[in-house]
Amino acid sequence: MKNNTFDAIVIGTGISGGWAAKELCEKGLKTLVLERGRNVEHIVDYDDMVPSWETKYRGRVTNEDRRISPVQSGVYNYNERSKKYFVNDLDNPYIQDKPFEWARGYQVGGRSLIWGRQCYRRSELDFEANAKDGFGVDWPIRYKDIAPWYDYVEPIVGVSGSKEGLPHLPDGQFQPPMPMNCVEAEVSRRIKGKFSDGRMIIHGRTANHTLKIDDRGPCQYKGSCGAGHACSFGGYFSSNSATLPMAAKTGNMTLRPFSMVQEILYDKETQSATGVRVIDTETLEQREFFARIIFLNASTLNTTAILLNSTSDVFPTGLGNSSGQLGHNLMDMPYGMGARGTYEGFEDKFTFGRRPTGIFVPRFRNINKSTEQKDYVRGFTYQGGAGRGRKASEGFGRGYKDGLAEPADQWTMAITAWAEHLPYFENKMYLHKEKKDKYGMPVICVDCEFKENEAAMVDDMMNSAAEILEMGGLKNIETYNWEKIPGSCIHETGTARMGKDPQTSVLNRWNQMHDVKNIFITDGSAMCSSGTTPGPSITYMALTARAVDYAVKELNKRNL
Amino acid sequence: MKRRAFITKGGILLSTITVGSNFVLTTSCSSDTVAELSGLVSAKEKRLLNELGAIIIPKTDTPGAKEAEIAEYMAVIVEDCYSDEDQEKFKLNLSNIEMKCSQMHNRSFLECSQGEREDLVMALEESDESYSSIKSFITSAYLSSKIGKTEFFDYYQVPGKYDGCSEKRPW
Repeated sequence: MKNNTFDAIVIGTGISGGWAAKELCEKGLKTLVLERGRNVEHIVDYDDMVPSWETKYRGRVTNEDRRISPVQSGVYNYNERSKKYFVNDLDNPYIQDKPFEWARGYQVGGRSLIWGRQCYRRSELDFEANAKDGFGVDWPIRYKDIAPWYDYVEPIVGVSGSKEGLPHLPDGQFQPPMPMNCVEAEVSRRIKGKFSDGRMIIHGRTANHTLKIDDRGPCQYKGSCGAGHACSFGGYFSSNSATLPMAAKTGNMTLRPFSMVQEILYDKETQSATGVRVIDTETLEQREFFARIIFLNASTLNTTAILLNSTSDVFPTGLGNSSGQLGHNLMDMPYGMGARGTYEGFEDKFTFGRRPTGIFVPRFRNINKSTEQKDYVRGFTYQGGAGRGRKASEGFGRGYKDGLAEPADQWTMAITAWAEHLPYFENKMYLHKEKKDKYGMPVICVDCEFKENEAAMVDDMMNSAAEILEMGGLKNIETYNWEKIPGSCIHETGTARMGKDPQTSVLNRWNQMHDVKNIFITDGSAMCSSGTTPGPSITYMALTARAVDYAVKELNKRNL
Repeated sequence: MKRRAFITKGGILLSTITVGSNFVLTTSCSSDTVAELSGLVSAKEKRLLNELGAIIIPKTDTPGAKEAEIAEYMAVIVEDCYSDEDQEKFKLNLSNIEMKCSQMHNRSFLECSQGEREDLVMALEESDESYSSIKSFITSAYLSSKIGKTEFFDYYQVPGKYDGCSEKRPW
C-alpha cells in the first residue's frame, strides 16, 4: 500500500467521524482519519484539574476573545479554558445572510469535547412525521431500522437514564440514571398522572457514565464537562475518550491532524470517488489521498461545503447534487422558552456534587389524536432542574461576610423547552462566489430562519412549562424566552438529506450518496427532520455504525 | 499547563497581539506583574480596593478580601475584560467613592482611620450606585479567589458523587 492510499478515508473526528473511524478500523480497514485542526489527546491535553483561581481570568471572557471570536465567545460554554476548543472566527469567517450562530470546534474530537451530552432516541413519530404532515421528504428508514444500532452504540457511549416505556421516547441500553434531587423528585411525584396529555418528569438521559466502561469514568460530578473543560476521568463520552482510542488500538488508523479536506476527487469513468484533496492548515501545502470508500463527517455545514466545492463537468453544482438539494433544508432547533419558580420546603436540604444533567419532560404535543394541536405540527420537550443557591447578603463587615455563606431561603426550579424546526427548502447554506478563507476555501453563507410553525409554539412552550411547575407546587412562577437565533442550539442538520428518491434527496437509506456510491455521510447533514426531542448525536452515532456495517458488506460483495 | 494551553494555535495569535500589554513579558501567569505594569488601575486605586475590601469583607476566623489580594485580580479583569465604557465607569465609581470620602472626612480613604472608613461605608450602603457596583465586584473577586474558594468555603474539586438531598452545605 502506498503511503497515500488507504481502504477508507474518514473526514472529521467529531462525534460521528470518531464512530466511523472506530467501526471501519475494527472491521479491518486501513483507515485514514483526517482532521483540519490540531490533535487533542485524551487526558494528556486537558486542563480540567487546574483550580479555577489559578486561571488568569477565573473563567471570564476577555475583550481579545470577543474580538477574535465574536460568534464563538457568545456560545454558552465558551470561557477562558474552553475557548481552545472553539475556533477563531477571524480565521474562519462565514457570512450570515440572516443571524445564525455557528459554534465550531476544529480539533481532534471536534465538538464531542464540548457537547451537551444529552442522548435521546428518535421515535417512530419522528421518522413518520415528514410523510404525515408533508414537510420535507419522508425518512427512508423507520424506527425498527435504527433501533438495533442504538442498542449497539449506547453501551459503548455509556448513556445513563431511566426506562420509561414511552413509545414517543424509546428506551435504550442505559446505565443507571443520575439521581433527581429532593425537589425534582417531589415535583415529579406531584405531577404524575395529573395531566391528561401525559406530561411527566423523568431523569435526563446523558452520555455521562454512572458505571465505569473500561478505563472511562465513572462520572466524578466535578462539572468540567458542562463548562467545556473536558474530563481527565473520562466521565463522559467523546471521540477523544472512546472511539478514537478504540480505532487506534486496532493498528489500522492513521490519524492526520492539520488536514483540511477541500475537495473530494471524482472519476467519471468509474463513477466513484477516488480520494480527497487536502490542504495542510499549517503549511498550506496540498496533498491528495486515495481510498475505496469515503466517510464524510465534517459536521453539517462543512460536510456540505466540501461537496459544493467538489465540482466537475458531471457535477457542476457540487458532488452528488443532481437533486439540487445540497445545502438546502437546513435546520437547527428553537429553544430557550420556559418557566421558573420557587419551592417551599426542604429548607434543610442541599445538593452535593455538580451533576452534569437534569430532569427531562418528554414530548406531550401531537403524539396522538387527543394531543393534536390546531396551531402547529410536531412538538417540544423540556430540560431543567431544581437547585439551591446562596443568599444575597446585605450590609458590610462580619455580618455581610457570614451572610455570603448562607443558603438561599428557597430552592428554585426551571424547565426550558427545545422544539422541532421544520425542514424548509429555502433555509440553506451555500458557498460565496468570490470570498475565500485563508486556506483558499470558499466562504460559507448561511440563510436560515425560524418560521410560522416554530413561532406558533413559543407561547405554548412558556405556558405549558408554567403549568407543570404550578402543578408541581412551585410558587412565584415566571415565564421566559431567551430569544435564541438559529444555530445557537448547535443542532444544525439537514443539508445533504437522506431520502427514498434520488430526485429529491442526496443520500439513500444507508447514508450512501445516491449519485456516488462509495461516499457515505453520517453527520447531521443526513437528517430529514430535526426531530422533536433534542440530543441528536446518538442518532448520528447509530446511523454511522449502521452505514459502516453496510458499506463494508458492500465492499466485501465487491459492489463498491 | 495553563500557559501551554494559551500557546497552542489561537494562542499564538493571542500572544502576538498582546505584546504591548506586557503579557509576553511575564514568565508566569501571575496577574500581579501584568496589572502592575498595565497602569489602567493605578497602584493607589488598588490599595483603595484592597482596603475597601477589608471593610466590606474583613478578616475574621478566615482571611478577608485584602488577604485575598482582590485588587490585583480586579485590575486584570478591568484591563482585559471590561469594555471601554465599563472601564470608564469603574474609574468613575472609584473616584466617586473618594469624593464622598473627602466630603465626609476631609481626607482620602487611605488616610482615614478604621472607624472613619466604616462610617463612610455605612453611609454609602444607604444607596450609592458607585459603591454597590464596586462592592459586588469586590465580592465576586473574593469568592472566586483561592482564599474564598478554599478557606471561606469548603472546596470539593472532585466530589465523586451526587447527593440530591444532602444535610450538609456543599460549600
